[in-house]
Amino acid sequence: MPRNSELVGRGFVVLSYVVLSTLPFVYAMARLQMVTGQTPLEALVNFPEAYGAIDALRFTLLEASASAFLTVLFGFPIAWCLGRYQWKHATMLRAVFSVPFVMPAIVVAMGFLLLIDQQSLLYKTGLDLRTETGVIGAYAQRTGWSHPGHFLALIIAHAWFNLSLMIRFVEPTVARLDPAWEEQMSLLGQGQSTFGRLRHLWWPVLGPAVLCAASLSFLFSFTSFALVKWLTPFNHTLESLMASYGGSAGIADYRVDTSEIVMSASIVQFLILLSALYLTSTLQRRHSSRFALVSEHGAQASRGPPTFKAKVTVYAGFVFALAPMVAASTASFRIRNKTDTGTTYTWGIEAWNAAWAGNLSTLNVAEALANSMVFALGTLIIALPVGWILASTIHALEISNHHRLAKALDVATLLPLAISAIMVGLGVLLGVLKNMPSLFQWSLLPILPHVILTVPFVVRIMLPAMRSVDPKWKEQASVLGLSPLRTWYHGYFSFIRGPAVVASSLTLAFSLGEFGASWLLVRTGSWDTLSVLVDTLMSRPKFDPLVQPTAMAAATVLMLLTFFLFILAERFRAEGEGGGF
Amino acid sequence: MKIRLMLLTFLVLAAPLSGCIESASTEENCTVLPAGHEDDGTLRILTYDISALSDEMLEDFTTETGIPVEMIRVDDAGGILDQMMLTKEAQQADLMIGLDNTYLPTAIDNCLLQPHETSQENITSAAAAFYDGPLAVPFDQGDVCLNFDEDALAEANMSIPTHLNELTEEPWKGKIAFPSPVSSSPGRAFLAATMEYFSLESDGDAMSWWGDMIGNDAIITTGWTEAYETHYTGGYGEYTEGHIGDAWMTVSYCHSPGVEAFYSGNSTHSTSLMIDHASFHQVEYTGIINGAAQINGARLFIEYLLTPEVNGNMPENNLMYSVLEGYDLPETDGYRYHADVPSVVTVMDYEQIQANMDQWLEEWKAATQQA
Amino acid sequence: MIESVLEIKNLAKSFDEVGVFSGLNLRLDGNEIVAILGPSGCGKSTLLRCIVGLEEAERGEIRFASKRREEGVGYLFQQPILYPHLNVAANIALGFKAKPSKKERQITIARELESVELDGFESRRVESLSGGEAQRIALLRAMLGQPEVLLLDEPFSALDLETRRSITVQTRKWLKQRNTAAIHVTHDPEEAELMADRVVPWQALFDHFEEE
Repeated sequence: MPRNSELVGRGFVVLSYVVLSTLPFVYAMARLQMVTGQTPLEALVNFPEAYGAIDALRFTLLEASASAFLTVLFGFPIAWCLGRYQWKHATMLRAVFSVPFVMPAIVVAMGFLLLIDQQSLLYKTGLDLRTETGVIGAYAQRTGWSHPGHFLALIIAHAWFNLSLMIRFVEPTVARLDPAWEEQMSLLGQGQSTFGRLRHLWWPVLGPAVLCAASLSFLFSFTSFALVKWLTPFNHTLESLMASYGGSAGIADYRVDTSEIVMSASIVQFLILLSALYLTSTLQRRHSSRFALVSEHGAQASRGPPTFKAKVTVYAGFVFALAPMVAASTASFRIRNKTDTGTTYTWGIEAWNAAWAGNLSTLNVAEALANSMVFALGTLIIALPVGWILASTIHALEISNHHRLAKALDVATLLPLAISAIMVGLGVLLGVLKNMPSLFQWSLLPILPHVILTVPFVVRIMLPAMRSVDPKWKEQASVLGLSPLRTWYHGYFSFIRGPAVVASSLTLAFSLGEFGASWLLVRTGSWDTLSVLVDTLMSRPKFDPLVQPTAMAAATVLMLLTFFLFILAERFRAEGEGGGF
Repeated sequence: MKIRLMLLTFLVLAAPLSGCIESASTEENCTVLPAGHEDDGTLRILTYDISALSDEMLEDFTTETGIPVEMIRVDDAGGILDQMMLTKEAQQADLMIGLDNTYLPTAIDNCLLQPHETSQENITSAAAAFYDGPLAVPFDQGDVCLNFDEDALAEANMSIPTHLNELTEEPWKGKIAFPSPVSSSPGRAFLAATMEYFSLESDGDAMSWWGDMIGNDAIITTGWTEAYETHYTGGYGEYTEGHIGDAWMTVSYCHSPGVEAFYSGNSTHSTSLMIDHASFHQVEYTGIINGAAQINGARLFIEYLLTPEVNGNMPENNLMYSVLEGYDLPETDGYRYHADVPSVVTVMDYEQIQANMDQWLEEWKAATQQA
Repeated sequence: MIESVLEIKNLAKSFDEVGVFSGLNLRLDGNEIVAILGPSGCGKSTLLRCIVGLEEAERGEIRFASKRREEGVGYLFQQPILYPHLNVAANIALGFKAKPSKKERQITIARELESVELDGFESRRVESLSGGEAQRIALLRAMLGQPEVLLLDEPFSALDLETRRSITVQTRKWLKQRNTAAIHVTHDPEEAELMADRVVPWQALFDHFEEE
């Protein structure tokens, strides 16, 4: 029976987080309501009238669904092969597949643009996804689809981003499956055919994992903004539509139309995402329990070395995972030199020198890196305990049969993922402005949005781990007469430690990728992080040939840092952990 | 613990949700507001990342005056206005740099600026003509022009247009990129130019021209960068990632070809479309924000910005003309040579912009949405 | 002369060049139940896995009388493999070769459960079953495909003595009712005696070809 103080503490944290993560949205909505004179319901009804809104909605639904599908298509074979066989460099492989998820979108966008440009291998095979000549152009002409090449590039980039979701959910399940299950099925009447086996064994075992990854993939693709801006410049998603109008929203008697667009679009987006989140939460629950069943029966069965086909699959995936990052890094060494006789490219470190010296920006790479680390650590210190407490609270509610409350809280912790970054930015600005303007001078303010956005991931990782800890471990420990602390440590914490490390590295990596600072409309230059630096450099006019490679140099530093963080984290992740986040 | 306490305090204080902003008042009724934030001795500049303000420059200023500088960045000139409007009750910056003459009247109408009380000497008449009141100081200028790719036109055997109506015809279908006047200051400047251009014709109607342009598959982008880099074939865009290269013409500055040449060893195939009244004289301003804290620092910075050392280098550092008398574009690498100077440029006065800009934007939105 | 249902000649099997057995011969006639008695680790399970096709033998022959191997052989694992995400009825239903109508399926499953004294167990969850109950259900499921030969790989070794005895007796009765031949491998002589028509020591498989 939990002590009163523990209940109060828990309650405080839970309430604070839920309020903090939803308050900005509420603030922003209230302001928009005042400015536009519409209620949220009216805004919803008026959505079709907002300029570009229906097109944006259609495009968003299309690309998000296609991206989710492609994620499954690319990710499942890799996850299967990884789980099925014993790989020598499993840790490194998993780390490489995890890194895409936390890469800053602008770096990814640049990487992919490099991969599809006219000097690329892809272009040489005849597939021109950028200027859409050749096969793509012919297809566009025939079907009347205006930019199929851009669309394809976008969904491939999304699939790349979300690969790690498929792997984190599916691979452990495949790895833990008792081979006897398969053997038995092949000997039964219904399991004679491949279809029968798929239906009666593989789908029940892996289905929830696949669907969970797919629905999260849908969610992230739906709210994607930077990739859309760079890869599909002719189309808007709801988020990019709001981003292009967001700066002037929420001001009375000034460009009220932008307020109307932002209000309508954010409500539509919120409703769609809320449904997707509810679905995801249900699926993850099902996956957790399915995985528990599977792993209970499957000890770490010995798996053989990978077959040739498996090697081809995984290594192809490996190359795919690294390609954009390698492209971006390589571009940091390539300087164009345009003279009256023509254009040449030279290889050199001038851009790295410029980045290090900070010639083209208000601060240099080292300073930006230091800032990034400060924010990342600050985020970790808050997000990890808060997420942990939230997850354990949800779990406690589940095991004490308060299922509805548990479910509600579960969805509530995912809410920040459903709310448009623009709305949160506006809400934070308004709320802080109104009540504590001096907070703006507080250099650590960007930590707030970082925390709000990373806590859901901490919960997603810790909760399944908590669910899977067998109470018998604690029972055994207490029966042996161990002290409460040692009982907690041996009977509980040892099983949570791995996921906690993974959650930490993810939180650090997200913060490094500057997930939330773009929300804040007020950006003080000397506190810029690495990804803001990249963004700033990329937005400069690139008359000067050093600008773009310098941006790529900064991006490379960021990528390397993130990569090493993940390698470190993977060492702590126990084999076959069903963490899936 | 402290963080939690602050968060808790924030939560407790955040409870009341209502927030009102005073509706805009005319400049006669503007009063100087108290500082919106605490003065800690640092000068906070609100800008759209103008490259003229290099690290070195800022350091020099700090060394000379002892005042440290912080940059608060937004994406474009429109962002500066939006930011000032949004934080009207508690301005976070002291000095704004980058609103141009198409934005300034709105800022002044909304009492967003306060008198700077610096003296401006040696400023060209072209820069001072639009506004020389107490609330803003010009710091750079340029003419907004259509730029086109000479090589592309030559290859397609097309002649250089002599009238804007030619751009609505078949050969130009889908080949022109315009930054949206709603979000981009060069875009806005060009819109103003078209208003003037068509008003000088007997049956000219700018809005129906814009509608025809949309009908002719003109590409509308959010900002200058996307139009120039991603779509325009005549500039450095072809060497940047993500270049699509589907536009032979775009809105930029008449001196942009000079900038191209400057960075390319005196070679460029971009040039400006010289049609009378189809270009617009843009002036960019700096001013002390109403509600600033570090007013002294702001004044010193304005003066610093207008010194010959800094302002004379506008063409190299910020790719714009200086506002000082006797300073021109450098000759190096064909900068001056390739920069075009329109013979007849649209120059609008303050009252014209103040009275019409908002209306033009609304009409433009309507005209381009219906097309 | 009773027709042999299964004939194995000169079978050899090794794992990674470690020999498990070699020169193994066995014949199963009509509907006889044979118990192969041998200590743990001698290769009994491997033999059964070779017969059912889960392993490939290096040398030798395995011949079935009439049907193809897949149709003719049923297999019971040491641990009953009942899928925990399905209830008892759904688990049993996996054994149907041709899918019957829903009504037929219900009737058949009910009848089968009754025959092993597990009436009404249709909607029970797998976790709630005792070892003996689980093994009986696995047995039902294996028999649903009407195999000619049922292979039992020490399926009762995890049960307590009482249950083991009763389930062995019950299984024998049940196999006889259905006229099904079986090979039962075990290390327990009493179990072998209770179950089989003929008890064959492991070593005897290697002497000569068994003749009637």
